Amino acid sequence: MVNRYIATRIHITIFLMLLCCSVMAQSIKVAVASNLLLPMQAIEKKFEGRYPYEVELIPGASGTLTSQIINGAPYEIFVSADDKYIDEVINKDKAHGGPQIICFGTVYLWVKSGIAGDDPEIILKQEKVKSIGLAHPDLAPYGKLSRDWLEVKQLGVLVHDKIVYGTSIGQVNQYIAAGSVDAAFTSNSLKFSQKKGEGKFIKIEEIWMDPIPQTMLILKTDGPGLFVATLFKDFLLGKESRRVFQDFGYELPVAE
Amino acid sequence: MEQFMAPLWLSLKLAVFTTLILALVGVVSGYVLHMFSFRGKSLIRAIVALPLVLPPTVLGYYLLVAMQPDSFAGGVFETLFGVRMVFSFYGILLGSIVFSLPFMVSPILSGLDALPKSLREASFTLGKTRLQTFFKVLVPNIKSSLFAAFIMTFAHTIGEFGVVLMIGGNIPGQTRVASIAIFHEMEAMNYDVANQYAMVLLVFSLVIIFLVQWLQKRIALW
Repeated sequence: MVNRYIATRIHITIFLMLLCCSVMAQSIKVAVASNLLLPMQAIEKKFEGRYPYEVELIPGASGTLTSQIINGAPYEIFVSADDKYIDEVINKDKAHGGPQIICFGTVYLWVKSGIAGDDPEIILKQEKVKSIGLAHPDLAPYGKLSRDWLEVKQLGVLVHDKIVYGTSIGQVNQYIAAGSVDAAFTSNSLKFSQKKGEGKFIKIEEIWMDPIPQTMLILKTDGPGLFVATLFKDFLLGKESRRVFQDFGYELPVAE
Repeated sequence: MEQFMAPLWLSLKLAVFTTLILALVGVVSGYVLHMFSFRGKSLIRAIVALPLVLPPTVLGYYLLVAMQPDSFAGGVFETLFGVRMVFSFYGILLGSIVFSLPFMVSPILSGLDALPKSLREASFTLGKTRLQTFFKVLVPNIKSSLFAAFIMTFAHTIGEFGVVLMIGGNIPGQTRVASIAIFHEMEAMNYDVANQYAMVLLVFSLVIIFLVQWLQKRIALW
């Protein structure tokens, strides 16, 4: 009886020790704009293969993540799909150091297979296209640029009732995967991913459209994560990561 | 596998703590609200029931604003206990306690209200105090309500989403409970994993409903 009691105690102790160890293993939390999740997952694997540290990616719309950071979310790094949100974080005194552009993204129009045409304007005007996925312009930079494009092309009124908003590019990609929309504005990373599924992707390109600067910022945290955060930041700017971003269709900033 | 189980364990942990804390709150508030009459009692009853109709986002919003580190309450918690309430387990625990409050208190109160008055009066006539009457006479007679309250609180906490997402975000090991994990895996385009979590929660919910029905039948016979 006593032995069993002691054995139970020992088990509990071991369990608690393991629990402590798993907490002790240095890890950082990286808030990442949804469009970057796929390349960042590839980079995370490479980083964890090289260093004894863990990286947790937390995806979301840049606007949502910004609001979380301002309200005290314990992330070590923020990778935003835009510099506007980065400025907001800096203004609220949540940043450690300055921002850094890691790559540039482009908007793509995804069109369901079975819908003909190569010109995005003509495609969207078709009767067949009954719903169009768009990341919410207030939260997601890709969504904002896509809406600007619709406005410039004077399609805004025409497609107004067809638009289905997603809270982030991630959610728009879900609409695409489920086939619940006929067309959708998404990011280059889906086009170049293995998860892209069926349908075609058309690049939305105009002289006035600047590529979207994917910007990274180390955040102020109480924890001991600064060292790992700096390491990961350097890794993100390194050769291996640059290649991954390129593979997913991002443009790289000119090396200084 | 360990990675898959983590959100499920976290959900379980959250539900266990919430149910334990609310069991205490439920019994104490049942005692106060049933055994005493005072001004503002109906207001308190209304406040207790409020989370039933309140959108989770409203609760999440207020908790987030009230508990962020720069706020008064958030600052007090951080200096006193060294814990940050927002985007942590403590935050979602607080959110769950508030959000599941009516699921614990309401069944207990209606169980007590349904008891014949004579039970209480007989106990008083026999010289028992309020406390004795409550715990020795009334509580044993509302066992089925109590069990229903525990199980529903537990189940409701497992199924929570909006409050957790708003006050806790999606932080692995801290706030990524099973319901959030579905959302997360969808965002990460891991539809098969999302499907597995959804399946686990579906089966769990079904089992809970059966359990409640079975318990209510069984306990009625005690």
